[in-house]
Amino acid sequence: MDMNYLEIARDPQLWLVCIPPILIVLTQAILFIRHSVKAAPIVGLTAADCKKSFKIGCVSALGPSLGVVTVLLGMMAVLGTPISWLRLSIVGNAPQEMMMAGIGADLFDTTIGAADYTPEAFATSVWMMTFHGCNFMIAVILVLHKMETFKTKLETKDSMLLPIIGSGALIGVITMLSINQAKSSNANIFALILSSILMIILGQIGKKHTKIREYSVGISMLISMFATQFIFGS
Amino acid sequence: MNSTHSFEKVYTKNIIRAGRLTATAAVVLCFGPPLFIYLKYGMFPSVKNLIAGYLIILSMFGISYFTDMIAFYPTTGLSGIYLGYLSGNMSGVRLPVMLTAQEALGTKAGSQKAEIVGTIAMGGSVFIGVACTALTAVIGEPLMDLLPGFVVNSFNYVTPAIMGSLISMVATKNFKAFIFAVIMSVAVVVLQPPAFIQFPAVIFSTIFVCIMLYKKEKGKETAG
Repeated sequence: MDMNYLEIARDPQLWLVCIPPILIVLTQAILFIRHSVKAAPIVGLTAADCKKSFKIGCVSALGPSLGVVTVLLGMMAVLGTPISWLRLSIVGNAPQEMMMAGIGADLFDTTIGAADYTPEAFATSVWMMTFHGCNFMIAVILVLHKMETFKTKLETKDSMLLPIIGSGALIGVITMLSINQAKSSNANIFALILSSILMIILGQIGKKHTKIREYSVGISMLISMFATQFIFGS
Repeated sequence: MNSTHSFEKVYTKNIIRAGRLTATAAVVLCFGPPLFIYLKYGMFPSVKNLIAGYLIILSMFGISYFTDMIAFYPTTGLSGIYLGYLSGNMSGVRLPVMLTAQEALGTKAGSQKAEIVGTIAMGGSVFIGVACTALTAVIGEPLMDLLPGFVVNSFNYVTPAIMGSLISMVATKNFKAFIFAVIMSVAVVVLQPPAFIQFPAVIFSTIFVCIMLYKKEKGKETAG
């Protein structure tokens, strides 16, 4: 059969099978938000706090989501729209999905989108991406609920321990994520430093004008994005 | 502690149940596309290739699946892991969104309050994320042509720009630990240990440093 893999990748029926997992993701988000709102009073959060958290979640997701969209467009070109849409709306991030698709291609001694990237290679790429995503979920299903017992054990040793661990983890995560960004280009380093400076300035202003606090991340993000683009181009 | 007990009953138990259920459903449904391709087109990688590929994936990410959970857990809480793992784009979208909301509401890192705030924010980000990707998938290329090139290109710098604002928050929180984390992160990036070690190495060592600093402070207080 001399079929081009894109015929499969762009099959409209493929859309139908790609939708259910995304519906699950949305269902989970709805369920978790509902449980969180119900539990909010126990931890001293008001309905207004919940609304604020949700609003911040939506607004601050716009920028990074548009970043995902940019990658999505690239992926759509080589892997077809339905599969790309599914894989970027569910487990894993874009670089990892491309890596998995690449493993599939590699098993057929080719690369994604190449002339000899056969339908079989494409199918294999899809299997690899599926496996990777499912592995995450299987790990979570098997182990995650045990984390609570681990956490309670820690709390009984020293009640300050957990907040310290939480704070240390936070510092570690944010710093590592940032250095990962910084290593790619001088432009990234510039964006990082500029927005931290802006954030510190806005923080000072925010002490007097509290409304600013909610938007300071957004404002410093936009200004440093545009400034970086202006100075460094892309 | 009464409130912890009822938090567990009202929240944690429900999250674990909903989390495991949706994760299982997702695992099952994710096999839809590859099975569809096989059933409709007869395209199927040989079993040999499937196994070979799976082993490669395990060698690359096998440990990450578990260590990432442990490493991110203090920041995200249980619900953050279920939600963040299933919706994906943890470091790119979910974590920054969660951290931003937690900062705006002034929650203490690792607290139950932080978990609730972070989860609600993450939930919002899921809706926005799916809306954006769905819109893109439906409209596609013409969408990019609508925005001026300058704006489109500047989105290449979204992530470092957001991370920068978060950096200023942690740097002011505990400067010594932050400097250590920077040194550790640079070392990891330069030395390039296997992928599954990188994040956990920085996170666990920074936690260790924080505990050491805290014990030193405590020691000074009891001595002085």
